[in-house]
Amino acid sequence: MTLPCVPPTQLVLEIPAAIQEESWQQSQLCSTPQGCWTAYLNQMCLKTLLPWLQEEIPEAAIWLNGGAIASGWDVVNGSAITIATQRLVLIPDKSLEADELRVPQEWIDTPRWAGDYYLAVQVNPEGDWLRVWGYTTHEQLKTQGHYDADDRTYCLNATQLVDDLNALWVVRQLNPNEPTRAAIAPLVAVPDVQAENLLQRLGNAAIREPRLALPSDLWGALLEREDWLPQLVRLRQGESPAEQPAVANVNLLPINLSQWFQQVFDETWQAIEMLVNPDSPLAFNVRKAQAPTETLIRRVKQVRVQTQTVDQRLLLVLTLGEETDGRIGVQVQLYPVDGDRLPVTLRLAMLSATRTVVQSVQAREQDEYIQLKRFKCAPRTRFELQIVLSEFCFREEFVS
Amino acid sequence: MDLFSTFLQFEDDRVSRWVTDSQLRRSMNGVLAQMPDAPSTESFWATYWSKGWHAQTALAASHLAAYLQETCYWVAQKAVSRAPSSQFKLPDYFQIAIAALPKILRGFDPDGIATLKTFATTAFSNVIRDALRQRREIDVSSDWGVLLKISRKRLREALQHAGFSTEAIDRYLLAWVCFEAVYIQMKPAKMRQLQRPDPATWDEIARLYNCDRPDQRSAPEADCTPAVLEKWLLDCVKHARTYLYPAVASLNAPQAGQETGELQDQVPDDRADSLLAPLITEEELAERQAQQSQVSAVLTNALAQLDEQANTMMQFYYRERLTQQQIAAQLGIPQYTVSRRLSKIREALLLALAKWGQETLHISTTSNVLKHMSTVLEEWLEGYYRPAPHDSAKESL
Repeated sequence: MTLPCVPPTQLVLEIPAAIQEESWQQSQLCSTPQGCWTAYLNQMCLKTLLPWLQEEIPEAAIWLNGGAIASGWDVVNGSAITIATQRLVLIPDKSLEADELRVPQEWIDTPRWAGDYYLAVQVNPEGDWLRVWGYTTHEQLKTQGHYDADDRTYCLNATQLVDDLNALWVVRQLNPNEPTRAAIAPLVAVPDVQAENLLQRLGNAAIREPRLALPSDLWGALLEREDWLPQLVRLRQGESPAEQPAVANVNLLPINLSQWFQQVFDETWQAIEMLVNPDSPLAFNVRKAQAPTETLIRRVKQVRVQTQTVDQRLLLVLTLGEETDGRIGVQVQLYPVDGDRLPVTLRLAMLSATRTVVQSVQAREQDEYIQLKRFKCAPRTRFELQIVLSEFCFREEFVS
Repeated sequence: MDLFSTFLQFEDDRVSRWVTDSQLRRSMNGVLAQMPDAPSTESFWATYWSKGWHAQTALAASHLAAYLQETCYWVAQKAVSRAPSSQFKLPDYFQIAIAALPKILRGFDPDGIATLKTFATTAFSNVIRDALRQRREIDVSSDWGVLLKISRKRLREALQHAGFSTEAIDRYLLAWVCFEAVYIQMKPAKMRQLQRPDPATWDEIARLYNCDRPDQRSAPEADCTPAVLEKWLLDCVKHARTYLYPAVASLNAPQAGQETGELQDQVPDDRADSLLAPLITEEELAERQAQQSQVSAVLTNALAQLDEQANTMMQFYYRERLTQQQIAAQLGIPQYTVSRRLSKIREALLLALAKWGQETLHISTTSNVLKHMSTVLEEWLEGYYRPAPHDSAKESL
């Protein structure tokens, strides 16, 4: 893969294969193809950029609002990250031109959605890299951008953006209260009955662009209601609007383990033969540790650990067994793919749904593999696995 | 005088001579006559005309275009030496860059810390780099990748450029929309290169197209087959590729050289007076020069504080002009880390510059101030690691 050549002030990042796959999977729920693309690009953008931002600013977090951000992609492009009281809005785009930044009106004129800074991100639709080619402020978009009524976007010419993301970090240090916002016209609140009616009307997935189906101030006022958009999206995706969103997380969907027993697998988890030559020492080691029987199911996932000093592929191995009491027994192991030792101090951990560490194990020198103590989960229990090595962190959520 | 009224002329890939534009020369003479006390320095007139441009003074754009010919020439020259290309020659780079001048002038703040030359140098190189980047992206993309990366606006332009009728363009655009919609559904995981859609996907594209085509009612028999749609889409790719390679011949060189012989000849217009008010004085110019040497001191000092690895990286990046991926390979660390470290170094330098600006110039550090400082920094780094040749384009002729 070749990264594009860009000015030194711009940020280019490779998108790891695992993120590409997860993002694609998680985008498949959307009600329109456009929504799928938007979700796919936003997922890749967030999952690649957020960890990068968090190294700079640890308190950076995804703006969630009841899962609205993930479901919102079905109808509006863009994601928001909150940093203390400020908001960064990421606007991904897959076209290669990058001659203007196009921000959907929702991110400008709806008070609950509006941001302080807007980052222009080009995401390669082939999925292997992204670049941040500039940023600007709410004020600049509102005062210097031109409004395109056709698709309700504020557009700002590329030369008017700040093309150095470092400028943002310096502003945060020297002038954290930089004025960033222009005034927004207040929106008139929508009565409940009208909101409910419009929900039913636009919940029909045949209406391709619900955001353009209503006058913009009415649409904006609906978005001001915290639960309205997630409900709309659930309706459009054919679910009952009362259900709570599946997960309020970047990982839209946890990996469903109980389905593995029906031979339904997520594409990111593969049979070991797909990834590892059955005659290789690695395959032998995995078999040696625990031979799969008819009742045991084994799937593996390759994880690439990258830090300042380490760049190594690992194999995360999950072996599941059905217990007589209906619970699922889970065995988690981690092997090196490159070389025959794990990086020292690499940590494998299992976390509960509330993100507390239940158990963890750390690789010592000479460790050929590490494993967690086998554990059992009742149906529909959530847990998370993490692989951590200094600044590197891989995490995946599961539900049994 | 010449600086603001002459243009470069190219012959066979190289500069042949400077051509004086008589209208611009008269304009300069006129302004000089009005302001006999004006300093004769280049930076005075650069600022004068930039302010004039923002005040929409007649001919200001042409004067600046003339002034920036040389800057543009050097940037183009550098681009040629940095990335020799069989398709792009010096005049092509020059034209790509100079065509972006109006946009560049719009982004320039004459009261800011960067001089017009500095600002334009960075902006011209970015324009060229962007053109190259687009071109390379198109080069490495499969046909299906091109279809996914192109915007509707650009595809329409490409088809118009190729001379299709409005109806034909609408058909092609609809086919493209259907392709894009169906493609995401079939994208299998772990696919590194985008593949040609399989037959089932083609059927789905055709079904969608036939549902949506405007003449569906009036001509139900005219359903499009997958094969026809594939041909259309490949046509789109072909025209997009031709169009996206900057069509150098069609780029307009600045129109400034054209004589109109009419009203505009009576320059300077009455706006000249209003320009005199915010005019920069000689003291201000001297102050600016002092500032530039201070900037240099601040940055040299900041660079001296870098550790050895940081120094090596800066050398690789600015002197050797290695890409981040090449540096990663050299140092045996991931690209991600190279990107992070380089970015950290530049942040430290920018921070030093911004602090100096706050303390000595008493300007508050806003994003837009930093945008200009970043330009100054970039120009300074380029000069620091790769001193520019001293002879100018004019002398080399």
